Amino acid sequence: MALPLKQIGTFLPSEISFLAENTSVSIVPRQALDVLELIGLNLPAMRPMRRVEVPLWVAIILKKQSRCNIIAPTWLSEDSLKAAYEAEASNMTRFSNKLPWEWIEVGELVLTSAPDDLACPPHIIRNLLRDIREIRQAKVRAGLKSLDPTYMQIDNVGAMELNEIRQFVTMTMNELRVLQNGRAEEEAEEEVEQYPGEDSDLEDTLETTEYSIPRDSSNFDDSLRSRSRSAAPLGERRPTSRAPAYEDDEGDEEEDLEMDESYLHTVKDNSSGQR
Amino acid sequence: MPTRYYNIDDILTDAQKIPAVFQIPVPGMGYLEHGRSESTDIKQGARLELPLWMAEPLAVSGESDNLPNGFVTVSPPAPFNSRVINALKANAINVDLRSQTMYFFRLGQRWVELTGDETLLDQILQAFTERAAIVNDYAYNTRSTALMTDNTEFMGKLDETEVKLFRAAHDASRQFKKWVSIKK
Repeated sequence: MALPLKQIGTFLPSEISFLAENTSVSIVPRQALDVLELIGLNLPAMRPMRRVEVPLWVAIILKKQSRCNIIAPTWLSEDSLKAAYEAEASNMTRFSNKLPWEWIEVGELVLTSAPDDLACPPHIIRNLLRDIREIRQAKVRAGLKSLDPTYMQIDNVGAMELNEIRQFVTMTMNELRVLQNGRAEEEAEEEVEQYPGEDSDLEDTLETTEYSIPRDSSNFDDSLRSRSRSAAPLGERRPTSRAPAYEDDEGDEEEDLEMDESYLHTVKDNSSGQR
Repeated sequence: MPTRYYNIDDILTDAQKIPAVFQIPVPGMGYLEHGRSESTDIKQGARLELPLWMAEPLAVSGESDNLPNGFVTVSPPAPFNSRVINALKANAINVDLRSQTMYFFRLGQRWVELTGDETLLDQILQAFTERAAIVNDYAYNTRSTALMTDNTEFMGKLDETEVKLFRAAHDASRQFKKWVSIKK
């Protein structure tokens, strides 16, 4: 591939932010605009002072041209961010579910494109976001101390945060898996017998690099937990291991992200995995 | 794991030296020993440092009734002697693995594969996990004084695998900072 090596298998923050521009926000238009039929979506008709929902990228364009005011999402207010911070601080072993999947990106985009539309001074919001980010980073760091070659679960982590640790975590887990290889040999052979049609190495890579992110589900316990490798041999886990990723399918981007990621790994493996 | 043919790290790991004792005399190969001429033989019981790619097949083949240990017997290479392993157990972060070998963890994996030494494997895995977390911390704080130490000194202690991890984590943090600064 023509991409530089460090970009294969992960996204740039700008790409993540681009994906986040598809989340819808409410705006209050200042001018009338008829229904616009675009390829991917139809923009609703806009009447001045009548609130409508549009994708963030449309909102940003209209805001730049002073044709609308953006209504910040409810979680992006001083009170709810403070509450989110409290929730983060109250439990240092799991992430709170008070923030959406794309909180860093949307926060940053709204703060830069429409600082005057926020209910309170933007620097307060910015500081709160930074505090939350730091406390969550500390949790990620703590979780990295207990990496395991086969399994990892982080609930409620944001797209950007996930993207940030993706390379490091996949590399570490792959390396651990390679190190484990002497011990896991018999298991691997069984696995090949069980699934004769599959390239077991490739499958393993995909499996170990997979994250499951049930966002709004109710079990937020052990947001960073790693199952001991003796608990479930690879071969037995396979049929179920893909399942828990999307309990709610409302976040299309999330799914896209997963697919893209596995696609990238497939490409990588094909190029480097020849024997 | 079978090594990947074109992977430079695997090739270089293959070139690491393993102490080996020959169980049979080998005619005409005396030049493998230091300072000996081509016409001599390797004697039975000769002690040589063989590269892994040569030591591995010699150690696992040739077993018979009068040769119970194969053509050569191998002993743990210097990076896996008890001094280093004990140091790893005591404080994995401060051990200078790079001065032992560039490919400590890969070599460890190959060595364990050859010998089946599971206790060593556990210790290596433990050390790797511990060090990886610290590598990540350093990668995020290249310029800050939060860790109160010199970054380059720490970098000098990493083995090749860890250097790669460091790069990955460092790139991620740098790209994020770059994105934030463009946004502002």
